[in-house]
Amino acid sequence: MMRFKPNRWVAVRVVIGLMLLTAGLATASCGSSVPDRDPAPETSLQLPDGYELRLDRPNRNPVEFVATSDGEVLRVHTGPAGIIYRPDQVASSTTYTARARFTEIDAPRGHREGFGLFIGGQDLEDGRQRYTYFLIRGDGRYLIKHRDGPSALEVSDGWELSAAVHIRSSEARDVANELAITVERDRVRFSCNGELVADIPIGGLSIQGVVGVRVNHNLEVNIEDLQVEQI
Amino acid sequence: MSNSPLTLRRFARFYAPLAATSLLLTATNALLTSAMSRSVNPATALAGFGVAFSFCGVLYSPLLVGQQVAATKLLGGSRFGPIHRLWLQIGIVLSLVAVAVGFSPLGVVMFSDLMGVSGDIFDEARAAIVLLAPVPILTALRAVHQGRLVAGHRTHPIALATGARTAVLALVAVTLTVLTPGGAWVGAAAFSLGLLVETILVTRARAGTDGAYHPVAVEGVEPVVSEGRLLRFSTPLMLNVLLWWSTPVLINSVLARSPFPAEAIAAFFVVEAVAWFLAAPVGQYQFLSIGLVDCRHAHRAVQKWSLVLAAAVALVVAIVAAPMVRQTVLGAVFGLDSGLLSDIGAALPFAAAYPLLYGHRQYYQGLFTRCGRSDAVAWGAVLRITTVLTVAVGGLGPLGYAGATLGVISAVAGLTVEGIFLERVSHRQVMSRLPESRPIRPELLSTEGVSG
Repeated sequence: MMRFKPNRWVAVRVVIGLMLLTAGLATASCGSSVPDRDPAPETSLQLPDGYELRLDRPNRNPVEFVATSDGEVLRVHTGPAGIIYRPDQVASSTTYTARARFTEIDAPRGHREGFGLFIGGQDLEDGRQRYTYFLIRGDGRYLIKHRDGPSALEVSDGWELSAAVHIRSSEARDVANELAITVERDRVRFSCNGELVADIPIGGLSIQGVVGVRVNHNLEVNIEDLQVEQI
Repeated sequence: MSNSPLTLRRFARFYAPLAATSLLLTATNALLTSAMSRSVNPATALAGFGVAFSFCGVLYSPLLVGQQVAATKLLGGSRFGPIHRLWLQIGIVLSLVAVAVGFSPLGVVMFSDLMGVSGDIFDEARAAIVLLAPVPILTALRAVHQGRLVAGHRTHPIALATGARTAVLALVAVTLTVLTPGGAWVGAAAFSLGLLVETILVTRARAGTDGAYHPVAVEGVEPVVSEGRLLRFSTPLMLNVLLWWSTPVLINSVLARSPFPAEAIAAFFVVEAVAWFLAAPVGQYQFLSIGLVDCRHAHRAVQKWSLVLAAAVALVVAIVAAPMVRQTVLGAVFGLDSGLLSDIGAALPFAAAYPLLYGHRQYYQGLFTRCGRSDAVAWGAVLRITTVLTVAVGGLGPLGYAGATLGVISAVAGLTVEGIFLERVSHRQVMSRLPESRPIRPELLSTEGVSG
């Protein structure tokens, strides 16, 4: 039988050694600049010419928000949530309609990550960013929010159910929806597939500025015909 | 308590079954997390389950002392029927509270108004709490029957039932994850079914003195004390258990008010599941001080071996937290997207402090309990929870975007303050109660081991 003999210094050295090793490993882990991510073939930010990207969270890897374009279709595959836009695509008048057709590719049933349009983008590159956005998601709900700096206030009553939003059927895994935001006089109207889902006063919403798209986490969405029409 | 000399072998033989069953217990959340991370909406599923489970923990944690109460009463000659009935009634009431949270406006008050969750997390949490509603009843039944078995010196069925629970839980979680889009309800259903099987096995097990007695880890159980002092002595320990189980509720409530609540709560839940599973070997240190420490000489010896084990476990957590290892291990175990893995990776290194701080806490809590100072245990718990809340709320501004890290730092800060308090009380008031080397008759504990 191994009898216990007080040999404090051996144990103290073992413990101190293990603690130092632990602290070293933990510190190295905290200070690592290597982001955790799946092995990805792309190693640099991939955006079409003229587009800008802003992720919701600064500690996310922009490489994982992949966007490509053949001139007609903007293909977005996320990763982290964010907005993508062309700084020169601006709606500066007080009467216009912004619209685009979104196709969610291989949509999982009941997927609750949203995508859609934003208008009134201002100061998008810094902490004062403001924009109004209109999203839909795979369970047939829509959401209207207004981002003002770090906060995003709900304009709709959370994610609201609407029959206007197309959802995945058993035949087709790709789902197309056309979203439109119309600004006219003192009101903003939000439509999905030609059907009005919300008509609200402009109030404090940001309506003049950059028009673009927002895509949340882990989605593959094709965007076509993103345009601003003067009424 | 044995009069045999304290050796490393005796230390290991005493503690190995405790550490093994502790690992089985803490595997629960790691398994559930792994399943729910493969849901169609993993962040909201994990966050919703984290919220519901932490709330359920507050409901059922007071019932865990049923094991202690039943064992003590039975050893004191009381009949099992009245104890069983009383605990069942309390369990039913607490399960009805869970049902009310699931189906009535009380759910809005609890989850939305108090805990601050909304939208999808709220929906997920509410679905989960409905399926977790039987947990208080099952916990009550399990606890008193565990007490019956402990009083009969039959702890093997307890360990067997714990193993069966973990196996059933894993099977149900995997099956539901494969067959459905998943969600927080999967975790809740798996947990409740696993607990149901464990409860059935424990309630059907015969008590007797024929079996060999080996210590096993049981959730939230404090040692047995003499019946006459039970209430006065146990109340601080019950408060300690309640405050321990309240910690995730408080942290989740703060994280629910962060800029990215779903990701914050989900990542915090995963980090906690991983960290506490890895730290499980130190989670039963209270029984070392209760079972093996009868003098200052033994205290130094046990503390030394405990510290070596805790440092080794901390090293394991630190290794798992290393960037290359965590990307591989966590990526394989949890099918999460790289964003959540990044949040988890940022928080996990801080959890390397858990084994040392938690082991220290458990050891001294056991020592204080043994020396009749359960009041100091409760004061330490109050200090800890106050620190956790202060750090979490204070850190919401600068660290709100990294919610999981904030949660872990809050927990570490709380354990540190509690550890300093316990250390000071130990040196000033408790050590003097232990003789230098002469074994003393245990003041409060009837036998060594978990509780019997």
